[in-house]
Amino acid sequence: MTLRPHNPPLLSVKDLRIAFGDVQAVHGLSFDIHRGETLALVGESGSGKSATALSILRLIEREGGRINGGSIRFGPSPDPVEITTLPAAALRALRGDRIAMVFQEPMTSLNPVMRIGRQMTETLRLHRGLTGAEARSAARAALDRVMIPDPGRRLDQYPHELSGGLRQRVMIAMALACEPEVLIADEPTTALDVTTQAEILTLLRDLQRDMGMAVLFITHDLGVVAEIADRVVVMQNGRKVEEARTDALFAAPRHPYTRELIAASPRLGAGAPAPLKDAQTLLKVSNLCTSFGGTSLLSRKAPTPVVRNVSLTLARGETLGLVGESGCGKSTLARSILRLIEPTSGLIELDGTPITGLSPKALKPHRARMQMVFQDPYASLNPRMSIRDLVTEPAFLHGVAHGADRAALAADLLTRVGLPADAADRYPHQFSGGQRQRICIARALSVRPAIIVADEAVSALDVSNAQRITDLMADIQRTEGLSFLFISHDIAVVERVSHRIAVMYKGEIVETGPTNEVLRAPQHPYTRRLLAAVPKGAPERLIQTPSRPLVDAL
Amino acid sequence: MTTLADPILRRRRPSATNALQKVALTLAVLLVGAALFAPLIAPFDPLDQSLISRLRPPIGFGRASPGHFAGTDELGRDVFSRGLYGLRLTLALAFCGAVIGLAIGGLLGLIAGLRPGWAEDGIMALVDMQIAIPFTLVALLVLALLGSSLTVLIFVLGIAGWEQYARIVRAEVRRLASQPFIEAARAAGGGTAYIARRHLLPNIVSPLVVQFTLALSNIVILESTLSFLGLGVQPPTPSLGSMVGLGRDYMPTAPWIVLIPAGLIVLLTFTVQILGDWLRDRADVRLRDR
Repeated sequence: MTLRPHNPPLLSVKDLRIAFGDVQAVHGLSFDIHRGETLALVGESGSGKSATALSILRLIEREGGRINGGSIRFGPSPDPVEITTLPAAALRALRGDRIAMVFQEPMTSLNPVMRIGRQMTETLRLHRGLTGAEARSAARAALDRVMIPDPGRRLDQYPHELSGGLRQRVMIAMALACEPEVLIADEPTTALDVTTQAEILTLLRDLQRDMGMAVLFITHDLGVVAEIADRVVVMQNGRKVEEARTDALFAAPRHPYTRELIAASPRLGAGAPAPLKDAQTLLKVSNLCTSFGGTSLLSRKAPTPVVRNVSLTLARGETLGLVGESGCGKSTLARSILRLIEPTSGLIELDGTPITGLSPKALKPHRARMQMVFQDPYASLNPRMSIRDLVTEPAFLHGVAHGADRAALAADLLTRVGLPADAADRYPHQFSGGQRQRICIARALSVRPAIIVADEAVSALDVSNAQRITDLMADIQRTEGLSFLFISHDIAVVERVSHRIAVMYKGEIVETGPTNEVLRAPQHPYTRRLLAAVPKGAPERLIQTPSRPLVDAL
Repeated sequence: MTTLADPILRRRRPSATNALQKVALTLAVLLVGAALFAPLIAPFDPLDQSLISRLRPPIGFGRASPGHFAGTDELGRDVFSRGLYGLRLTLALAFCGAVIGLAIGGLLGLIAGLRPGWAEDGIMALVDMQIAIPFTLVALLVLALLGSSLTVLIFVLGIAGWEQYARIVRAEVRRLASQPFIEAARAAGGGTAYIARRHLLPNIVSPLVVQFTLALSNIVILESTLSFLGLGVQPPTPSLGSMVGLGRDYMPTAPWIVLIPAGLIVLLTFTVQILGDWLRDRADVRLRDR
């Protein structure tokens, strides 16, 4: 089922097979990209989409994989280049010049000790033989093209002086410096805030139109696909399951897996849980402030306020969604409430008892009532501890479970989060991301807390796993009456789980209220900006039926 | 994809390493056995001189003296027996020294990592000083002042490498402290001592094991240097280092005097390094089941 427009393909992948060691990662993938079109490669992590992207530049060998079948032809039809058998020197000439790549992580894809200008002129020197003032003006022009303000000054700056969005613009400018025919963008907006993401997507779309290049866009986010792609290839377990024009894919997904992906993608306007009626207040935070720095003996810098005068309440059995872009202070606020970070001033009351100012010893019994689930399921479990010890650790520390009890408790907790009880004897690395996040939730549940703070708990997961985790949280809330403080930068996920919502901007809560009301009629300009930046999924349909769940509309 | 991103899991090439590890394990058993049972195995008393049969080559060469199958040294002592006794003393010294270094350095590094502020500054200043001053000079001074007894020697060898342990432990603790799982343990209610014991230590075993094996080799060489300068193990007691040092003058005419202890030093350090790699992998649950 391949769609074939009339002009010949610029890049043609046929029956591509990629293996890592003995594991076959991609099983015979075929697709074409034509000049001036954007093809999105969509799939969950492990589906082989990044491996495919890396194979096109033959960078896969550096990652420990190899191409063990198929062909990748690049170039106009009379004499295309076969990339799979190209010698190293010819490959180097191709990379960065005719085929360029933009990576996911703008923080680590730039060399931190090189000025932006030097990094940019490097490519120009290698492929165009430009040096000195000539290269510098070309680099400046490249920065101009991606609309970076004040490009002359940026050339002399180091990567750490730029924000994430600006760095990704620099990466794109570098990739486009030699005017490539094909641009491969591997999750280029995943690490960015929604507002920045929207800007980068617009930029990419405009640049593609101006330069007429072909773009291979790799993403797990169907919302982004709808914004940018002309055609979509959906991948699952190293195979193409569906290929279609974007509008056709959203209108009539044919493969069950595509339907599952579309259903699992959080979409703004899909409806939120109704606010609870006459709920009893469990947690009350008043005028909380937290600052960093200013305490060291050697540096007497003024402390930087990160959380400013925040007041919020959380009722029993309620989920409060806390949204805001990265760096707005939401994680610091959560940690201050749990007193993992000492707040500078303000009052935190748990069930009527003030817990600010308590000594660590007096705090300990209250700690058991508030537990946390962290963002990164890979890093938040000690790799050297068995699952049994991990999930029962809080219970052990609070004197709830000892010795043989721990095994029984572990089995019970694991069953409650939908994992087999015999998982207790295994270690974290034997589980997938979604399973690990279940383990983290089991750990939080072990002391029967009243509140669970979930800090970006589903942000690192695939859409379908994220949905399963939020469903699990809702289940636990229903059966055990728990309260959640659900922190996320993804407003669509927050909408799905939260009774009420609080929008945080630059350390302050700028707006709060029942989720449906805030999203329908945002008052603060920042909330409006945030909502406007969210990828719309399938836009036309969403606008027609803003309050109805989009899944039904399809 | 996660497994591919993790450099630890990508590093292994199982078959070649396994064969090497088996060789090293066999060698380790042989070397430690030889050191432990030296009095039973050695054909001669290592201090017995016999000036009639001095500088005799190993068996198989002309003028070889029957019984002395690795030859004799300049005083007619049996090189093989001295090598065994030397191995015994050198192993004991190196092991004690490395353990003392591990204990001092590990503890100070842990404190420096957990307590930023004056404690860390003080400890790291000590570390910098130790790195800045050539340690052989310090060792010479201490040994010259306190006299060269075995106790003093062990102590000197012990403090020779502590700063490396301290640096490694501090850096690892600082790195781990920013990991979410440490924060998760704090959120669960764990105190500093609990977190250090249960979460930090198991995660710094690997680099410590590697450093321990490096230190063991370094100490063997330091002991040789000191013995060579006459401040280490005092003659006539044999250690591998002192044997190399004393045999140096006879290298052109009687190379076996040096080659036997030097060969043992090489075997010893090689074995320790390979065993270190093996132990590091054993300590990591992620590599154990592959």
